[in-house]
Amino acid sequence: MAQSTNFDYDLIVIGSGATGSTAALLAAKQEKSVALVEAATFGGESPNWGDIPTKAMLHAANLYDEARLGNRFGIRSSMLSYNYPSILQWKEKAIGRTGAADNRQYYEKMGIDTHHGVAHFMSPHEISVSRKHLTAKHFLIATGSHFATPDIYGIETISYQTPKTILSIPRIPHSLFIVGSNSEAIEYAQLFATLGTKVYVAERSMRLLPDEDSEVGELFEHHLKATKGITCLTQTQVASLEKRGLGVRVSYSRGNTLKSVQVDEILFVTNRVPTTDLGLENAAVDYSPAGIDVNEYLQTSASHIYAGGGAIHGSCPTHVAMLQGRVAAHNIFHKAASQPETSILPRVTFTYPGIASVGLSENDCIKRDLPIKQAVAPLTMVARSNTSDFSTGFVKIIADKKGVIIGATVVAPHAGEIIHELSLAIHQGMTAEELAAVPHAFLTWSEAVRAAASKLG
Amino acid sequence: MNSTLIYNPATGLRHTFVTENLIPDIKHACRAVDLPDGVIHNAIALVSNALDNWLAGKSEVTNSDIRRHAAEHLSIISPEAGYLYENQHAIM
Repeated sequence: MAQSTNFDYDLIVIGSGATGSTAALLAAKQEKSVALVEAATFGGESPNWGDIPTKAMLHAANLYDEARLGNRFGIRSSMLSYNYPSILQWKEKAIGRTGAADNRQYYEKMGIDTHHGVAHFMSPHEISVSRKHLTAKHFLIATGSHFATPDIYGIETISYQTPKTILSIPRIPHSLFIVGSNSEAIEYAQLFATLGTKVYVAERSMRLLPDEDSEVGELFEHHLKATKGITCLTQTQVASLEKRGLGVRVSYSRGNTLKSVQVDEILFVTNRVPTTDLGLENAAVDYSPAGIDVNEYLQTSASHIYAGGGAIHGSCPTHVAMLQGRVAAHNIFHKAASQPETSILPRVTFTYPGIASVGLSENDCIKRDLPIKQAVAPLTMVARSNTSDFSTGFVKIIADKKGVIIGATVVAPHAGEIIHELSLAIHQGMTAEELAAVPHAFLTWSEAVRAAASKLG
Repeated sequence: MNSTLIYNPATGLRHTFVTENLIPDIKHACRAVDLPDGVIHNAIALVSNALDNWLAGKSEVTNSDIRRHAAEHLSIISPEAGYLYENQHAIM
């Protein structure tokens, strides 16, 4: 490892999550001297308590649900049951198999020095970690986000769950109140409802999944009510919380009336804030409550310090965080700076049916006053809907006035897989007509993509 | 009382943080804007508690960190006193 003179390292990465570890590994491959600082668990959110455990448990829950509803296909499932501690064991196995979860040695083997502790900038090129001072020519801040204490009356009297803690509780709660209805919240709602919990979802907006197009939220509200008995409380605000026995009494206001419900657990999903308490002022790095300010090359107001992931956005999907890690590592060591390509980043919710979208949504187009054409193909249009006895979902494609695809939403089984075809179409500037001309195999869900494209073409 | 060290990047020296050392400067800033003694007492308690909470889990910070955070919390009670406290070396 070639070290720069005067500094301990070429690069110090603060945070070992998706952004930090990607950048540190890339820099180490380029023979740079790199240190990785982690305040909590090495590997960060995704393998330890984020994507991997959640999706492992959702997979188990979906299997259970499919089997439970197998009677219509002639499968006898009246004796079917699950064992929650075994599902938790399966989750731990999936976490262990990533190799990245809580594995400091992995980074050491790759030639990266690791330090455990909270990093604090002492000066622009110097940080302190557990009173040990480290200097570097460049820094990457990839500290991610954390959950702020919600500002609700009575919050200090109760114990509440966040996505970081909810999958560690040893037994399934009888009832769960989820505050927020973003992608993450809907995944938890479906997971626990499938396993038998009575779930309430409270959302301030008029529909669930407010970041997606209106059809998605409306369809999911109906789907979750009909199939899982989930109570969806839109236009609802939690007013107060009170400890009652082992549970919590949640009072909420909806339609100018105050109601309350007694639940075992309450889960706050949406109160993520960027982790910026690092003495950034000592390094002249500008930041706001929304996150660290960066330019299009992920460079902060201090030119030798870069930032990415949750530290600049608050909430950041893992694939976006990894992309930013790659771009930051490139820009730190190369003169020709690159920018993360954000227009084709898919957004995926791992529910059943799945939800995936890419590019511009209808709301984005309305806000930008873009003239658009759009077409929706319900799943009932494809033969797979018949053979799988499942019809909840659709494919929606948005094109500009010339027919070039600029956005798409898929609600279907395996939506997360289907969406990449549409990402590629947007990336390549394909028209709906060109996409419709591509043969799609009979009896695949992807036939709905061709059906929607041919409506536009 | 916590065991956080205060580091001076200019001299490289470190010393242990003692909350009581802040009190004279806070009083000075509060008196300069004519705050009553009772309010000053409350301000000192608020700033001391806030700093102790903030420093929990931090092994080392700088003098400017302490001054900035103390001023931020003092500004809740009196923005003028907070401003004076943060900039008193330049102003007074």
